[in-house]
Amino acid sequence: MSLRRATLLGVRVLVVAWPLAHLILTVATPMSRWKLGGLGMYAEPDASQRSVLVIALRGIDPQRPLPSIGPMTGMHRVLERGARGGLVPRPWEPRAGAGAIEAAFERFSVLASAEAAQELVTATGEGSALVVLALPRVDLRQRVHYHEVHAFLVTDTESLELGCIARTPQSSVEIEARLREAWRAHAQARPPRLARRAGPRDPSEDD
Amino acid sequence: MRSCDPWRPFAAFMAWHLALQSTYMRWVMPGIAGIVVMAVMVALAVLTSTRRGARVGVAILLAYQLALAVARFPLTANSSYLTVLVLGVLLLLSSSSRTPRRVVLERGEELRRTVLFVLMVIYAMAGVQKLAQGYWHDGEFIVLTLLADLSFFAESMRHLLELGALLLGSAGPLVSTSGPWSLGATPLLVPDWLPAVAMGLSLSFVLAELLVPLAVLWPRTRARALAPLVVVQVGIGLSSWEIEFMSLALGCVALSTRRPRRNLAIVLAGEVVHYLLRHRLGVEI
Repeated sequence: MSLRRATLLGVRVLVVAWPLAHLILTVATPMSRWKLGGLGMYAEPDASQRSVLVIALRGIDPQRPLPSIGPMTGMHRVLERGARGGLVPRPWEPRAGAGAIEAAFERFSVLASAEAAQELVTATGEGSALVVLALPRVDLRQRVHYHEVHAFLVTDTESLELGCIARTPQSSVEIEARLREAWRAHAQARPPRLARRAGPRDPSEDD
Repeated sequence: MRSCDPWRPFAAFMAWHLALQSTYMRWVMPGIAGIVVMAVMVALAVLTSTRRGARVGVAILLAYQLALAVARFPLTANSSYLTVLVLGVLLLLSSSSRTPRRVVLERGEELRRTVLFVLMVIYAMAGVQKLAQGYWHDGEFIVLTLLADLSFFAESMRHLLELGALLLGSAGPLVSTSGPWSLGATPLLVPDWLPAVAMGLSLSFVLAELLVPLAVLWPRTRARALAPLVVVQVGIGLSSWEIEFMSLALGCVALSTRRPRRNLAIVLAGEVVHYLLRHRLGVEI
């Protein structure tokens, strides 16, 4: 077989083998299906539809209920991909670490590990944070649009997976109650750590 | 074996296709740098269109596209990988003026087969990925895209659905996503028939991506499958607004037709019209 024919055969093998390997990788790890030429783009919604909330826990007493997610405007950050690409951190402006945040955000999918949550929180410059992953879903039978919600708790010393908070359509009250419950359960199990790291009290909590 | 050599028309198509694509560089490189890149790409297209300069032109284009793919890694677009692959195959199957005519025609046939194989595997694998990830089983991906996508196409589809809901009767208009601030479930007021339409469209896309490539690769059905393939390509290209990939894929199909020169010219003309609409007349899709 000539070198030319062998190369053409190699091309054919490559275009069959790599997408299959990519498929296995994306099913088993948090690797994005939109990356590395695995032809998996459009197999799932792109990152612009994924919402990740990094809720800073500075100044929040672990023994008290977690403030509602809705009104926590000054205390939580929504890292969201804009519809035209690029990361849109809200409500704060992009800053120097935006590249690192973007890289950590890319790895933050439903398969993300506690380590990935730790990386994300470190990139945002927070110490302790509750990380909430919200994946948009649609149930056409029930005709409802909802979020599949997963949560992680990251402190200076550890990162924990709090598990799936909502896999089926739930009300926002229910989801927030579950988040609070998961956080409270953890805080009660480890009160000294979070209490020691509690920073200055946030004025918005007084509301 | 066919009597015409498709190598030169296809090389020229690739070069002009990339020259038109380089117009996007004005967003990446504003100012004089972007204009220089565009001018160089047009010069390369002219060089590749000549008999003597075609091989050199393809080699330079391959090096340039490879550099772009590496620079954008790991966010390199799939169309960029395909471009590199096609240019590589093109260069590998090039011939000099001393190459016997029989060998030139053999290489032309090999070029047709390889490019078509690569393209069909791309479609089939995209179908396999969609089956594996689950978002296409019940139309969920299509509805999510309709809800969240801000493109002109998605916006038009939303208006079309609302119109359809008015005419055919419905549960109400399509509700947009409420954003990340509200994590709870929101009722989705959609026309009664949307779930069935979304599921039908979903399954049609996946089945077309899996079955049409098989029909094209099967020698007995190849000739009849080329027309459905073009329909699938245009359907996917327009619905996802992947014009760059659509043009490249249509060019690859045109290579395998009986009149490659004419059909490649038609695809290129379509690209020129798109360029004029978008860049000169400001029609933003």
